[in-house]
Amino acid sequence: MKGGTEARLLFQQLPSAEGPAVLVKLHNLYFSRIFKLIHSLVKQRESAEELASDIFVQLWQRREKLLEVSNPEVYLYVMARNKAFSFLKHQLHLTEPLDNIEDFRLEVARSPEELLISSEMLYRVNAAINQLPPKCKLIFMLVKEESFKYRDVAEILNISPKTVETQMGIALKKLSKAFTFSTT
Amino acid sequence: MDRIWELLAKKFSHEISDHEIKELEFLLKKHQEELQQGEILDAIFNLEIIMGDDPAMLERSEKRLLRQIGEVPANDLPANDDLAPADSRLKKHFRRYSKLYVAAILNLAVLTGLYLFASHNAAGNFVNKINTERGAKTTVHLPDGSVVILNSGSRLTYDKDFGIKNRRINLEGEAYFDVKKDPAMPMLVATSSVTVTVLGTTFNVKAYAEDSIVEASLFTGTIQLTTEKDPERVILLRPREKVTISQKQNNYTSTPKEPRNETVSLQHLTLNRIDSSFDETAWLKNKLVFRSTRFQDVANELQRKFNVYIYFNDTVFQDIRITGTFSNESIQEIIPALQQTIPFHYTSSGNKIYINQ
Repeated sequence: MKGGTEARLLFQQLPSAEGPAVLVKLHNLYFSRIFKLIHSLVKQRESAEELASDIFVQLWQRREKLLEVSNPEVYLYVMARNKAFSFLKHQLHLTEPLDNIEDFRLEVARSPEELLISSEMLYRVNAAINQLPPKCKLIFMLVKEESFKYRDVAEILNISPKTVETQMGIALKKLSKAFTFSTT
Repeated sequence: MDRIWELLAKKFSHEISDHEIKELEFLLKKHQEELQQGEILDAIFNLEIIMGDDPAMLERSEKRLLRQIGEVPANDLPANDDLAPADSRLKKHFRRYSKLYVAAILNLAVLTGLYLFASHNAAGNFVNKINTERGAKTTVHLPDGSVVILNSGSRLTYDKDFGIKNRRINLEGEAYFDVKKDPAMPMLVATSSVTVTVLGTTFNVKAYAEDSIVEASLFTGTIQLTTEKDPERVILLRPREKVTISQKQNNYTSTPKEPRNETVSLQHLTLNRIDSSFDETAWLKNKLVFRSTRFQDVANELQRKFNVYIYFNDTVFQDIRITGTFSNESIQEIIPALQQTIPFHYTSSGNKIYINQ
């Protein structure tokens, strides 16, 4: 896991004297991603921004208890999900949030390691990703971005691992269509 | 059929169980025709997500955060802490891309080793020449936006008109091309025995002077290919096809001027079942793949990759066919591995290896 170990280290250092600086570090590492998740759930930019900030305030408030957290990244995302859901409940329009989430843009880029992807193909891939249903796109993003395990994604989004599996299958199938098209 | 996608997605995200791998293999065998793009799908899956940070929002949130926890606002913090976000982002960047940096540094080392220069040729044209030494690989960005990855012991040349009046490029050796589309100006890749005409595609050309075969493999788009011997005949390649031209050499006695017998054959690319990758681009991942390849051609490949010299003291071995894959093995490991299937002996001194009976 790429980011997991750093997050764990930062979680452990949070109660120390350098706490505030550590908190800022965590904030800068995770704010944008947390914001993306919350934004797709609550659909309002300003609220999402505030809620995402609040996550880190909360984190600070419970800094003494964080040593027991086994997977800090999942923990952060679950906090974010709960925050978003309780906000929605408060707003009294929580039905089934995952079936009705805000669409967002997701862009991928190639590193020199991915030599098989031509520029034209990359363009098609990005177009295909952004045509995925928002729920499917969100799951795809979570699996790819932090290399979250399926069960982590299921926990974060409060869905069954089987749903993650199905949605990932759908995402891959659609992406492959984009690619097949480009070869003809 | 949807199950196959679920299983493939699981495989790419390293979620797949041993039991499911078996299921996937079975399904892949059944649906071979529809699913030949496994490697490219895998590559798509590995693309990096662009985070698209909003710096203004990040800063707003940081200030709000510090206010809430009773700390001074960010701009009053000591300079050191101000640098913290940039610092950690930088670290993350380095961690994420460390492999690439190593590659870039290696490339740089290669660049200093290879000579990239502009010289006047007889016609007074500037010629760009890019060489890769043995054991090295390099990525070349052409003036028209196309990208070429040049394998070991290869040479790419193009003149100053490239991308302006024409897109003609000469290749000796092996290279992978990602050609930018330009219908008005097709790219011409010329080797000593074949010329490939392209609009915009990804393909691999392998044409080492010392090898007994020349290969052109196409991944996407279309290319046209003509051979030096028979320029009238145009071969049109479709995705996932390759052309192999065997040159029957009289070992080292033949000179390029002597006519050689050529056999041209059209095949499908070889899909590796185990990791659903194409053998033709294995070199991009530093893998060596041999499928019933002449020992002499295997030796040529090893010479280029490991910067060694392999001499056959006995010609009986040269035409023996070898099948096998090497990924991280050193030359010291590969030669003994080959001995498992071929009864030869060898001696080595420095970077020279002598194959004996």
